Amino acid sequence: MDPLRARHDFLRTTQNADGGWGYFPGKQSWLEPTAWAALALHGDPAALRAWTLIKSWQKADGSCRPCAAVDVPNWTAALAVTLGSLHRDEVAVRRGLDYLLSTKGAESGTLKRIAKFIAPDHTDREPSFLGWPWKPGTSSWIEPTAHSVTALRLASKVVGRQAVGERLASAQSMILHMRCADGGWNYGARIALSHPLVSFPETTALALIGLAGRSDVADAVRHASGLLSVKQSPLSRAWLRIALRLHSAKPAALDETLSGPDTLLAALELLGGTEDGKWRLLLPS
Amino acid sequence: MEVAAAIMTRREWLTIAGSAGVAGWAGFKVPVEGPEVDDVGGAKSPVAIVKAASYSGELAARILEGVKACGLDVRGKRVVLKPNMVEFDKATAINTDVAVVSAALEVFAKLGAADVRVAEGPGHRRDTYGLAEEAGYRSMLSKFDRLFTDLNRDDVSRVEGFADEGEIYLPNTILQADLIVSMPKMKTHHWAGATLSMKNYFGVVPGSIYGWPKNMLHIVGIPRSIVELSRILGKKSFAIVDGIVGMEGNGPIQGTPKQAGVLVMGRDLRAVDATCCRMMGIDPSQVEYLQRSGNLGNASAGLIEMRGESVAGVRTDFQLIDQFKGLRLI
Repeated sequence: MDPLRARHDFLRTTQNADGGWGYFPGKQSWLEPTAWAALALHGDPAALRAWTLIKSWQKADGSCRPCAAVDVPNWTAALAVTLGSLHRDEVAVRRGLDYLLSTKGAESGTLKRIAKFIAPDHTDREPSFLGWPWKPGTSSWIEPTAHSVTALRLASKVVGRQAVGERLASAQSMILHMRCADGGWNYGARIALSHPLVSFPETTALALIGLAGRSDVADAVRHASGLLSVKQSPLSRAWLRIALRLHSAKPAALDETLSGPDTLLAALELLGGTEDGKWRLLLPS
Repeated sequence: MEVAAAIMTRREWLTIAGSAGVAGWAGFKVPVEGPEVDDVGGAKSPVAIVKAASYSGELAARILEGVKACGLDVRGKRVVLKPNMVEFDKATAINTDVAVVSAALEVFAKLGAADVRVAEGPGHRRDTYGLAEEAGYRSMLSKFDRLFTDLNRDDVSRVEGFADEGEIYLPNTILQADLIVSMPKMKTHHWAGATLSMKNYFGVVPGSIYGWPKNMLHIVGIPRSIVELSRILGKKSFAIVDGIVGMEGNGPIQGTPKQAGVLVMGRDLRAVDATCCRMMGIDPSQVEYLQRSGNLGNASAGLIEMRGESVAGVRTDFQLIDQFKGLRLI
């Protein structure tokens, strides 16, 4: 079967009755796989049902439940803003944008800045760069920052906020600052006890998604292209394909069979599988 | 966990905040896990040390020996094996060797467990299946995809009471298990001193909610989070520590492989960890999470009943980074 058709059919047949997707078929719906599946199926009625569910999880302050059973605001609010922007839902986008703009990594708080001043070598973070945490009250990391950057870019097309530009620049500075010595990115720490840490392919791809639209990261794009040319896991390949396409590179089209019943993986593979895929929805312009 | 370099624990912060004269502002709260005590006391906690020179020997027989020595009955129980998978680097020994997990699967099935699963939620890698591939789990464990649960993406339930957080969400695979077998690698840890069966429970905290890394645990404080997770899960736990080849120095990621040639087992995780520490040449009374977990088990040598090898017979000092030289057992 055509690899894209296999992913499409898999997603269409595994959507839960509430409109969402679990990380694996038959499991409870979670915001993350639901958002990526909805992006990959954008334009399909299934995607609209997914957005309806995600919207129901958004709270008045713009934060979101990561799933119906969990009442903890976290990083998935950014995915809701991205999806809401594509559906041009101004109310949901404004609310989500307010939440994202009011959220930053704990390292940027006053006390942490004082701590950085007292003990500058304690962390390799630069507290003046505002990234996003996985969960409010914790430090900022690459992946939630990348998702939030994407969300802000798309949201600004819907509601046009002046404050977004400054925050985007700061977040991208954070991403650039946390690049590992080997040329890629990990979760968001360059060193531990003065020892350099290594990067990972999936987080390198996510960092590049957060840096989409920049013309000064050609070497990082080349690094990511190199990663895709050697053996990688299906998830790493899926993220790398999306990231490279966002930077105008042209990775080979998806030609692999579905490796297992993994909703997030199938959605990412469908999203970035070909040059004319729905990854274009994430383009900054 | 190495990424703690990027944040500060409560204790670290209080040190700095205190020097800046703002300790009161930092708002330290009384821990909910109870007062610091030496040991639970009562009956001695059995801990078994069995020798295993390599991963190619009869590991199932060695594990069976230890499990029996500890009097563990798994008949009819739903068992979850929780190895330690963090990152992969072929040059060192970060993860629980798959051979030990494979042998444990065989042993618990043979002993009559109703179900035996393998479950882990890596703290750094989003790509659990990719990591499992690199670490040899997918190729070495038959029917891996059917046996394995990615705890970072499992369905979850709310558990009341976790430090100052008030609650934590944990994977249903873990909460519904009758027995969780904590299977860590025996390693030094550059923030906690040592990472053993109690610290291994960081891997049950779901990334889908708390992220990669599970930074909330660092903000709460590494020792305190270790204690809190063990308080929640310890009563239905058993430990099998992979000390055949451990890691010394700048663990848990960037250290050096250390041949120790043992498997350490027991139902009292604190007793197992204290025993491993003594074996590694670390004074358990100086390890903060063991200091803070006195109400969870026994750590004093006099309250641990050694079965199998003696600590003295297998002691091999693990190198310690400068920050932890003070932990050395005299």
